[in-house]
Amino acid sequence: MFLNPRHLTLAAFVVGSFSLSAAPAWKDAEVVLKAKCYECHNPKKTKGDVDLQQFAADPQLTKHFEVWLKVKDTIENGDMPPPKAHQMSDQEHTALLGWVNGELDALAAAQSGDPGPVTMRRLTNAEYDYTIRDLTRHDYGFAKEFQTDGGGGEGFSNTGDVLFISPAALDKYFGAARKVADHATIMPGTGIVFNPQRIGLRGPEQVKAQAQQALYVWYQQKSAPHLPKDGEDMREADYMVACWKHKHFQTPLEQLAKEGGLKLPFLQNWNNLVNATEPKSRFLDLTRVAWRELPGPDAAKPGQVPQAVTDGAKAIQTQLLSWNNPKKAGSGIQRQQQDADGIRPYQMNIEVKGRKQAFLCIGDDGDGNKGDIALITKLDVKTTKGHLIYMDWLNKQLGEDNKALGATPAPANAEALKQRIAELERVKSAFGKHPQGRKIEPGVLAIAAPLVFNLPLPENATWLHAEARLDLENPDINDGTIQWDLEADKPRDVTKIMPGILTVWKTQTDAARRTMGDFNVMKSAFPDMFERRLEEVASNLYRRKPGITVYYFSDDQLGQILGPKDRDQLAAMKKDFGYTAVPNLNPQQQKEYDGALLGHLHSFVARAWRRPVTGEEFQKLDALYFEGRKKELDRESAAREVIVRVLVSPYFLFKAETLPVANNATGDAKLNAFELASRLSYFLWASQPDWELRKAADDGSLLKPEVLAAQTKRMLRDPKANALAKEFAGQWLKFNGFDEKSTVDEKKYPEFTTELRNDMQRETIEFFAHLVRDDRSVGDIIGGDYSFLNERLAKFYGVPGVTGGEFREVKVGQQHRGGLLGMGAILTKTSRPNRTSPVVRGDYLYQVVLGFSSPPPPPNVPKLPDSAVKPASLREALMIHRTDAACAVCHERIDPLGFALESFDPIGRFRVADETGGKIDDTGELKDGTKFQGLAGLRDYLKKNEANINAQFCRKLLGYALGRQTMPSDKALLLQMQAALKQNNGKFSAAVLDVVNSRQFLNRRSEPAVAANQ
Amino acid sequence: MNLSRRKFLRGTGVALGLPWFESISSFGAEAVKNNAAPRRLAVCFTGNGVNPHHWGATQGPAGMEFMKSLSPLEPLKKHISVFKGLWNPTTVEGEGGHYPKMNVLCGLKVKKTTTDVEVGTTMDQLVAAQTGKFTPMPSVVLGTERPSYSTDSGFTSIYSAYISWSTPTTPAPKEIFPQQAFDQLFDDGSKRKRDKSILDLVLEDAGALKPKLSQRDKQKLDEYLTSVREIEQRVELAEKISQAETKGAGWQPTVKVPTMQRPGAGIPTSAEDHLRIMFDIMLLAFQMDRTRVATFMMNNDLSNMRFPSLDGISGGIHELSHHANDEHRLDMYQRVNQHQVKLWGEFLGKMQATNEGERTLLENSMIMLTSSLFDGNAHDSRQLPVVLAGGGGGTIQGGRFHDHSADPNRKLCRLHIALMDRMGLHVGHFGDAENALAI
Repeated sequence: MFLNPRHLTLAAFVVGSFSLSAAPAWKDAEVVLKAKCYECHNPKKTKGDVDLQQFAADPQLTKHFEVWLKVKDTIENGDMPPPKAHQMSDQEHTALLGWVNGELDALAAAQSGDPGPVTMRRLTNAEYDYTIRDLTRHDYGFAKEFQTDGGGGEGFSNTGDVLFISPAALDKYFGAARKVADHATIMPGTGIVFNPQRIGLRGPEQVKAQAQQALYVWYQQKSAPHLPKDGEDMREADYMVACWKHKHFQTPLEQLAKEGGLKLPFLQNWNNLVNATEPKSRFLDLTRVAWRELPGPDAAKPGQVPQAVTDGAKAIQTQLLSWNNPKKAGSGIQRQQQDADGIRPYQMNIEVKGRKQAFLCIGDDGDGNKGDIALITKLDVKTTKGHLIYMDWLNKQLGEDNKALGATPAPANAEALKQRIAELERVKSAFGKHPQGRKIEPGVLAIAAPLVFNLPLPENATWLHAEARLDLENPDINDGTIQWDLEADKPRDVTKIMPGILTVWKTQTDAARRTMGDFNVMKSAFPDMFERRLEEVASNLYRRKPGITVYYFSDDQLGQILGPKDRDQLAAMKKDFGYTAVPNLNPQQQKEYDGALLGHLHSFVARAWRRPVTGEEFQKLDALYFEGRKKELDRESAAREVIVRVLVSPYFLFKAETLPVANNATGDAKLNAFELASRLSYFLWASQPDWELRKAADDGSLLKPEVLAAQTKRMLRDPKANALAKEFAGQWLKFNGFDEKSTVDEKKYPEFTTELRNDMQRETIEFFAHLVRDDRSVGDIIGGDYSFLNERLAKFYGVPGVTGGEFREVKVGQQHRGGLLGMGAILTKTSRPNRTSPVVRGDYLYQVVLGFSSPPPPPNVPKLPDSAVKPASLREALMIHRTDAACAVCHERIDPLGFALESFDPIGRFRVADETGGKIDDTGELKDGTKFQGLAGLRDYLKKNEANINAQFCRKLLGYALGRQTMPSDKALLLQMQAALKQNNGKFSAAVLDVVNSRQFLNRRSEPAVAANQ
Repeated sequence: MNLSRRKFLRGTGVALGLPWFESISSFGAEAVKNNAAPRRLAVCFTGNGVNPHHWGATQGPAGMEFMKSLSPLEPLKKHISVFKGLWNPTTVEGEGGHYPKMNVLCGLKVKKTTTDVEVGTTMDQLVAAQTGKFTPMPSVVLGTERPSYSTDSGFTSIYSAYISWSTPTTPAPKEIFPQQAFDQLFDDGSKRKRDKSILDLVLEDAGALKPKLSQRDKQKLDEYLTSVREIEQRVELAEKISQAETKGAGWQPTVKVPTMQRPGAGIPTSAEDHLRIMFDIMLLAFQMDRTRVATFMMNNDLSNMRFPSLDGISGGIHELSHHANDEHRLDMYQRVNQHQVKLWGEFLGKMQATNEGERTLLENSMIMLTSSLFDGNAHDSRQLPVVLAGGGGGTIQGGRFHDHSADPNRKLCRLHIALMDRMGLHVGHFGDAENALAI
């Protein structure tokens, strides 16, 4: 037999127990009780609340088994009889204990599978945080400052009895609930949304602005990937040709889009635009009228697009659409207008090399010529010989020409000269004259639009330069808009808008407003920048019907390309904005607003309380909301009160499992589907059921074993199952909280940094998280030759080839690592701050890993003899310690296990020598002569005792799952779990599935059963 | 397990006469004059015992002489009473070096269990139920270390983390975060007013839930219900107190607003900083009369608290306490004890510097320092280290050494009865004791 534990514990089921056949009889035991116990435990004197004499006739073991369990424990522990009383003889001891053990074993068998006493569990602090995380999608961690939880049952914080609640705790629940609520925005459409930062009280303007902002950002984010960027080919001609085909061949737009590789929404928009006359805009007409004027199909070539159409469309694209700067692809429209201030003239320049004349084009901007008079205040010409004022040249040339003409004999080109003189005179005569007869400077040329004014040029001219202003003194200036342009090749059509040319008007005139209006229509149809296209989509926010922009999505179009989830989101956000943008809601709207918020609160409470909520409960929640409204809280604040109220309710804070009302039946009460869902999710995730699990509870299918098993397997693979690593493995194997506080002497070990400590903690979590989620073997805990490391920890351990901060699986068998025994967190945790402790490490393996209970040190530890005051080594001191029989009984079993880990220093580094250079002795020898050396030897030894480790694992897992101490009646289940592990290569899920399918897990004890055991 | 009435009585361990609400009315008039400063009670606890060779005092020719570990108290000597030989006899009955001793303030046996914990309602909480009617908070329960998640030798580690129990089965919630402790004490109560209607509603929840629960679960729900009701009462009390303050009748605290900054979040890195800030909070709570009862676990039992600031000391307190008679380790153990006494003494000094009219705050108070063990190495609880500071409002003459080692009835609970008496709670018996110790 291995290790021979002094006390028979549950974990020792594998070891054996009293045989039933040899059990002494009740009458023999009763004699002992009478002699040694009744004196203090009788109906009159009930020391420790125990009356044993009442059982003299009948021990009533089934009904009062807890009393007998106590008798067994106190006698086995030596607590009874008390030291001053008469002690039992060995014979008496055997008779009494033999009987009680035999009976209890039989009872355990008879009551096998008893759900046991499970006290209603409050959410642990960890569970609180996980649950809030899953409710809000934010890991706020508010429970960190709660009153701390302790451990009970099998050593876990999730044991109901030790989860207390107090006014101070409740105060903190209030505080946390308020904080959670303060992080929420609660809106009619989008509902309850928790934010990473505190939102707090918001005024109506702020609510509106934020709803608006949210929509605005959403529109932009969602449409950006689908809109053409600046510089991208917008394929205007292709779209226009497609529209032409639709018009003449009735080809559906969908088909055209598909064939042409065009985006359907854009094609729809194009088609709407070119066919529409509204909104009016003379600038937009440049495109749409031109499109409408494209020729029809060629009767000779049915079904084909005539070349003229293709060319026409291209011409619109280059000349009319991108009218300001046709050279810059995709630039669209740019603003080319100016308010005229009357002070500053506008410049014109044109290259005229080799030209005989230039054309000064004065256009009326397509809106008639009323008020359109340009004043050309400066006209210069640059020649190969230098600069000239045009008028000077004109006069000089006139002089020269007249002189040449007047010469005798008459020149050969007299006729040409005459013509030129006439032409020059025509030009000259135009100067200094105002069409409306106003007096102007002689050097100024005043021209009423529309007019193309030909300017003859000197022969060697290279550049022509002019300065122009709008005549602001014109009485018709209110209607004046004008364009001017110098052209060298050919004149432009001055009765239409000249695309790409500056338009000038007087500020704050009707003409200015009309033109800007027309122009803005154009601009909104063809925004000239990507950002403005985004903005056009975002402007849907203010629109009741779609915009006229071409490269744009209406809400419907956006919904079609994004899918239902975004469609719903958009509808919700618009609802938010719809209700908040209106300053005064009418009673109907107010009712709808309230109703929408209450609807969201209802679904929140159903999630938070992990069960369906009754109509009456909903009404009460609603009443709190309206009470808040009456106290003049705004809607969001009133809704927040409901959230607070939900989160401090016992329905949230406790995982209550109810019994049928007035149930008098003994036996099991089956958990309902919602209670089972909570048990399962808090077991596997330490958090609330998710949507999928909740659905299985809602339809009741969770109660079917195959559904339960499938959900369990699914949940074990989910990242949330990391909670099993942190909470279950962490508390069982004591690494939980290792990262919170250093237990190491930093002066001695400055290399033990906070980062390293966190890495070590992370290693343990990663190891167990993978064990759970990849369904690895429980045997890996001791036997695994791998661990999870990042570069820093690998370096610390001396494991080569790991780079970067990410944790990954590494084979570490060659570096004296692998599994729990090689983990820095465990090795450090089981050391003293400045030295190793074979006793602590050994005790850890003995009790925590192997599951034996070592009795506590005797009340008064015998002092070490003086010879031990200065031990040559710790090992020697401990060997001396063991010469005392009172110490030896435990230390013989504990110390050897710890000695085998002496090759790891107090911060978990591998070592071959101690600080003074002494060679490390890492051999352990048990009393029976079994020897092992170092990690490898210890691991082999422990593997031989895998049955004990598995038994301990199963016991801890069951205790964690049920939130109670394991009991004799759990024996069969524990054995079943161990067998399942064996059959399934130790797979973690095998044990879990047995737990969740057990009678203990699926039921709770019915009330009378509890009372009967008191 | 059912909480029987029997057990409840065991827990309170007092002769219950009138319900405490009625019995209190005579308190102010009888013990403390209406316009005199109230008395305060605090118990400070250090885990893992003391170096036995240097703890305590002796009777010298000129009166009490401190032994080395108490030397930091020299300036306050005339306010200090040192007790020798007091103990809780129940602590040596069962096995276990630590947990069975964690009944310092009630003297009743610690139940060996990993689930349904039970010790006994402690004397500070009984007093708090009385004096709490005059202050915004009934008591403040402070500490520095959280419990570990474990069970050990059949005990839950809960026991090592609490000295105050508000019922036999519920430890009084201990606050280890300075900021939280500060906020609890010095909050103006406005936050709670908003909670009022919610409190009513969750009370209804609990009421609706209760019939559907098992007997066992109902007890847990009762903890919740009691907490809700107590918060409700606190809301009302806060209003009454603020009204009384406005009227200005009777005695008024000399400190009206917090004289310290609200502490930062989290736990200070250095143990000294943590201890000092908690002492300061306790001091301010007394000065402002936010509460009249406090307990402070300067560390847990089985504590790994370390004082790296002390030169040449390595190891946590628990480790040092197992000195195995090694001189060097005994020396380190003693220096840690002395350091803890020094920090306690600083707190006492500040109390003495607080003038409350006729007397100083220290003279109006009773501040105990104790542990659950004497020599930590031997897990020895056959006597406990007990030092009492303060004058109990003129009822205790300090500067004296009380040697009870030869006294046949040297139960610590007798001292508790004496202190409770001075706080206006007159109990016939308490814990395992039947009468008060003369002090």
